[in-house]
Amino acid sequence: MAKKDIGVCDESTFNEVFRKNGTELFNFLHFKYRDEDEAKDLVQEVFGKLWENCEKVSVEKSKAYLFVVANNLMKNVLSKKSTALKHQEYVKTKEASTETPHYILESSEFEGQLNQALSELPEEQRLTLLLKRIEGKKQREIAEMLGISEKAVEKRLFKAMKHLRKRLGNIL
Amino acid sequence: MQNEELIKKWLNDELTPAEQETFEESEEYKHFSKIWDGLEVASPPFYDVEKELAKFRENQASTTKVIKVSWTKRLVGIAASLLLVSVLSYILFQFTKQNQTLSFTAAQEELYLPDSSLVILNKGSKLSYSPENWAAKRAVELEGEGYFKVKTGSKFEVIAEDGVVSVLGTAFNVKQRASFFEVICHEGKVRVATTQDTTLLTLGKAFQLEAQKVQLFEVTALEPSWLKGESSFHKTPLSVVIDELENQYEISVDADQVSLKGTFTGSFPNDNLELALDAITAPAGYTYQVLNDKVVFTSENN
Repeated sequence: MAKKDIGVCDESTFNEVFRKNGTELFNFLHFKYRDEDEAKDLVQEVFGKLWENCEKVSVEKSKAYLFVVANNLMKNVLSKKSTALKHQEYVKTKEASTETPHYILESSEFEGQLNQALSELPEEQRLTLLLKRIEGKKQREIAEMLGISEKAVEKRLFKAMKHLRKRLGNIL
Repeated sequence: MQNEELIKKWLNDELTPAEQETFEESEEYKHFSKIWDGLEVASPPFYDVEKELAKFRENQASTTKVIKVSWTKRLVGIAASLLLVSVLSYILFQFTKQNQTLSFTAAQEELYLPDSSLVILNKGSKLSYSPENWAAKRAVELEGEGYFKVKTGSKFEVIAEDGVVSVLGTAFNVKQRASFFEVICHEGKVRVATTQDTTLLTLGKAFQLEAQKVQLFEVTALEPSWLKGESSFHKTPLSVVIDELENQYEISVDADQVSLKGTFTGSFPNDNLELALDAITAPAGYTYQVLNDKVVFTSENN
């Protein structure tokens, strides 16, 4: 039996794994870094690792492998542009909507502040919160993805929300 | 903060209907649910997975990895990139001349063929192919020894003096030195055609042809030992072993005083002449003398 039979070395198998998990992995990295280009590059890097080790990773294990690598990679990322800075840019360039000026003012102020507050959160807390809020993951699923306990997930969620509540207290 | 327990339960979807009602009436709920709803703002941008996959494929085709040589990967990477650049510029250069054949002579080097198949050439080896005909026929001519990692696709042929090795996409080693011809299959299937017959090799199987004599044997190594700086042999005539020694160390061996009738099974390092000589001479009961770039073998019985 050839090694490649059990791994993901076959090109079409690998492509399927990419298509299936690429977006989720991108979202994951975007939650953490809030930087589109950064997240895209990291997705490439993570799949590069999978490709290097394709004969050791089965199709079933490939998703878990991707997130483990993503978690480890993230610890090595250095010298990122301040996410807070990125954020101001993001708010400024957000597309115009058809709401009344007053509403825009109010809501963009709220959104801007919320964005700002999100950027101040520790990466792990923000990631946990957004996996729950945007991806609709269960506590148990998040715990598995991050390699931590469910209790730790609950703690992070609460801490994150508490911080946002405190930070936005004046405009709620 | 009030209602801390309720908030935690709310986040964990653990509120009972009664608790839910109490919580929803509180001032805290208003704030928290506004934040919760507002978090929509953190939705990630659209990720074009097909575009990114194409980019990934493009990068993979132009980067080196696949082969793990024992030296620091970085050095290998740099060397291979430099090589790739020079190979590419060479190809470009050659394209300006028509009907040329590209050839490479190596002191163990990695090179990529137009379909991004990888070839690592052992010392004193030569590979040539015609870039113009590549699209029609994947074929290379080999003198010496090379390790091939072939991209899946149409038939790929390695033409050596004593035989033709054809595969679809797999990893294998071909060695043609003087009248010695050896093919080892490290992955998938390999077809070996000689003037006498055709043999199909599967993973871990090896074919050897020496003086019209065919020998089939098995190997466990995942890749040729010479990639790690060692020359290995399986029941190989001593004369062939000595040829390889001469090739690796660029020396000449004078074995006129000994009978070279036996075969050798084992290996010698490619970076330590003394160890290599010991490895070859000890089992056969020879001694040796080194004089500059010449080595003389003598029999201990003499």
